[in-house]
Amino acid sequence: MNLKRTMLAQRTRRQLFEDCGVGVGKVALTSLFVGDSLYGASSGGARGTHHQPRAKSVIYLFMAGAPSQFELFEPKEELQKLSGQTLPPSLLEGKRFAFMESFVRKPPKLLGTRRKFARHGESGRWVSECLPHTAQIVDDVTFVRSVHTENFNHAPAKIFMNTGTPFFGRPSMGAWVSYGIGSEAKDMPNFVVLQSGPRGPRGGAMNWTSGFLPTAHQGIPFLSGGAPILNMSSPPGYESGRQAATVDAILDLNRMNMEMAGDPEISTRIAAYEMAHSMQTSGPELIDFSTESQSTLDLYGAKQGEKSFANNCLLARRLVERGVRFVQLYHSSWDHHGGPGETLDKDLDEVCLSADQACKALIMDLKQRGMLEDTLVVWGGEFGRTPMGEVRDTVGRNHHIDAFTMWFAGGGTKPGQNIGETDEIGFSTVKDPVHVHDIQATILHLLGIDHTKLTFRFRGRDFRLTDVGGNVIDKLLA
Amino acid sequence: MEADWEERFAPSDTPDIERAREIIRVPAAERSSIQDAVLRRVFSKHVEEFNAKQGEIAKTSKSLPKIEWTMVMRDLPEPRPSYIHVQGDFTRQGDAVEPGTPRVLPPLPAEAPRNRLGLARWLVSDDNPLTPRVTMNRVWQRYFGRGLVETENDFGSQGSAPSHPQLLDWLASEFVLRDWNLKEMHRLILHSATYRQASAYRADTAEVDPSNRLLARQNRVRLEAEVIRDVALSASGLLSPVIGGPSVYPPQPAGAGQFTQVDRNWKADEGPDRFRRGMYTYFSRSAAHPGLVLFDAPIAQESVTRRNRSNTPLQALTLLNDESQSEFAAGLAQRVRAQASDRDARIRHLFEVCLARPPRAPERERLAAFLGRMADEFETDAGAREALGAETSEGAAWMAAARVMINLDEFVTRQ
Repeated sequence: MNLKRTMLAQRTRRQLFEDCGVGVGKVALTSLFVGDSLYGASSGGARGTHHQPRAKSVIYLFMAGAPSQFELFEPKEELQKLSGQTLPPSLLEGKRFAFMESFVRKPPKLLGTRRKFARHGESGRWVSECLPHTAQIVDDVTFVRSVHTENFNHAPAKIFMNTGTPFFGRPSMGAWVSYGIGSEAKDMPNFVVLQSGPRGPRGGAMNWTSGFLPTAHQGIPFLSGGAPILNMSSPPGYESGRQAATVDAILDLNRMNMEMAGDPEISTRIAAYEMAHSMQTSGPELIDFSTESQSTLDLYGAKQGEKSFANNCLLARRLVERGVRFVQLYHSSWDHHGGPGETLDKDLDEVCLSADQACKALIMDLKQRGMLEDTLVVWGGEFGRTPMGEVRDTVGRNHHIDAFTMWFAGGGTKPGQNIGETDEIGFSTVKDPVHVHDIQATILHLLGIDHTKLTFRFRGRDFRLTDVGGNVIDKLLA
Repeated sequence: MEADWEERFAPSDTPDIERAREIIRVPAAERSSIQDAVLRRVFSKHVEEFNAKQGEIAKTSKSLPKIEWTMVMRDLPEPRPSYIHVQGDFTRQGDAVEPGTPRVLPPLPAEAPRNRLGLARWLVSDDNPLTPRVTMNRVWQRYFGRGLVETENDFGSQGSAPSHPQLLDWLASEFVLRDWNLKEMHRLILHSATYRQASAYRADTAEVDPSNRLLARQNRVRLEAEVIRDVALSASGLLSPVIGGPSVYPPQPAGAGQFTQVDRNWKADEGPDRFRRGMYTYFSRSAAHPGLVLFDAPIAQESVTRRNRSNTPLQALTLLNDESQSEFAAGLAQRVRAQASDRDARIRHLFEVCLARPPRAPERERLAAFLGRMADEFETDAGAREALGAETSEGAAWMAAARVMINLDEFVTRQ
């Protein structure tokens, strides 16, 4: 925040109070969510864009647990042929895997997929039978098949994907975006986290933390079922106008103190209470699907009040409509090692079934509303899965960091293409490798942010989302 | 050694007679100390006359003073080689390193032991002014919302210059002269005229020093997350003053743990532990108590030298609607009603308890109007009154007024 400007606003506070029957909110809104007026620029508000943005909002479908690219997007003839053969040990040299002991005990064998693949759409993209709905939107989607990461366990890898480092406590992508370009949402948090599936993501709040950025930019988890935001409902007894009367009394007394103390933070708090009170109305409206047509509900497979990925996808669209910058949906669990509850057959089928239709619906719905143009949709896990089988109760696949697939749609991306290639068995990338920092750089780029310029000074040095790496994936841009 | 330990502590008393028989076959002179211990245990457990004594022994052991255990450290006989881990990654080993200080700082004295003791002595040596300066700057920062050096974590060439260099050095030297006694330094600052100034906006200084770097007035500073709870608890009269002990579980909104891999069951404490200070709240890093995180409590992953002070609608929702806040309001209302009988005296008491000052006339009138309206409301809506747990509509109205007070900006701000 520009402190001088704020203080100038203060000097005219008498004029301001003349029309303050309708609320001090107007002036305060410019400084709302900002943090600390004492520190001026160092904890200030939005920095603004560096170039013309292509996207206004991001919907990030985080497939927690790491989906298997070999069962979904990457048919490999050679892998099918070599299935059952031992992996050449040279490929394992110097590599690290989770659950190393299973590979050390017995050299792993390559595993072909049992899933059938077909080409889809005009662009002829490969998608397996697991995702019949996703197969229908391939012309709107770009597959990046050469993503690689650095961390082979779930929590560090998720945190790496979200914060650019595997260490706990650095700001997450949504927080950086909110800090960088601010909010257009009038009565919603700017960074919302939704969750579906049997459990929350490993690493929990570390995945949407604001780290050392002002806390106002942290991701706010919305609850499934009842009221989406914690403490959104008035306490018992404050129905029928009593809450409004209470808030009015608070606002009036704060205004009286504002006249004495003259601190811009009081105006900010007045605006915060006004917004909080309007959120008590807008929150229930947000989750009320009765304004959606039956065909929209059917498209997603959404049902009022249900805890599902489908509901969350529809909510994501509604949030973006309300100006929310960054919506992240976690859907678990894709961790198909082969053990009970994580087989590549039944359990993979189950999670695909719960996610596939809503992914398609989201893209189609955004498209027909004209929102896909400036909404970036990202789909992917924290890493991929090995071309080798992992022997547990059944044969599944282990975590693999060297090559996996993510997809992108809308928000200024160029649809209907594949980026990157992997070798014959899908072990490593052979063309256009895309590092996690490249993905982060590209997401920021589409939002109008230069990832090397969006920095925050902390403990004596400038930090950024992409650490010291990251290149924008030019081929992804429209 | 490890096996011995396991044998001694393994809960394997069921087939113990069998084991004892085996041990007895070993000649007494050849039995290990563990075997002896096992024999003794089995003997004392199964022999009648010892059984009678067991209760007494247990009672006596219980009366022994409890010994607190703590970890201590000592140097390895041969120091382990240490390396830089490139970018903090434990799998990427860089250069080997020896104990020492960064080159820009004074070196460790040649004769100093290369360990924690050497470092501690170096930190507080007379040749190192940085430690007392940095420490005093942080103490100052807590009382004025901002340090004399604004970049409290960077006193280097990239940091900002102190606003009052002589004051900082005076505080630093006083700190050393007073034997590094922090409590005395806190008292010294709190007694100063600078600290005790009013924080109200001053038109005359706003033009020349808009950010109040020169401290012509005090700064208003929002309270820290834990303290926001503490002041409300204190005002409510419900505060349990117990110091120390295990963490406690005040109420938190249902669903707060829903977003982590294990949704731990958060069972709110009943009784005094429900009303302990905020700093005793159990802290789970993957799903910290929302009342703490929303008010900028650090998430305990990175060391921070300063907290953010954000000001958001979600904070407003917490102060308005959190279950704890209703309990505090009820406690505060009860306290104020017990203290005085007429309305204006009660309002005065309410302000004094919450804001340490009497109400100004317009404030008193505004709150009185609110009280009147609420009393009417609760009179006509008995269900709402009961929902608040109040016996009379007047009681409910005072709860509502107390709720207003603990939501005021002034209440959560050091003014």
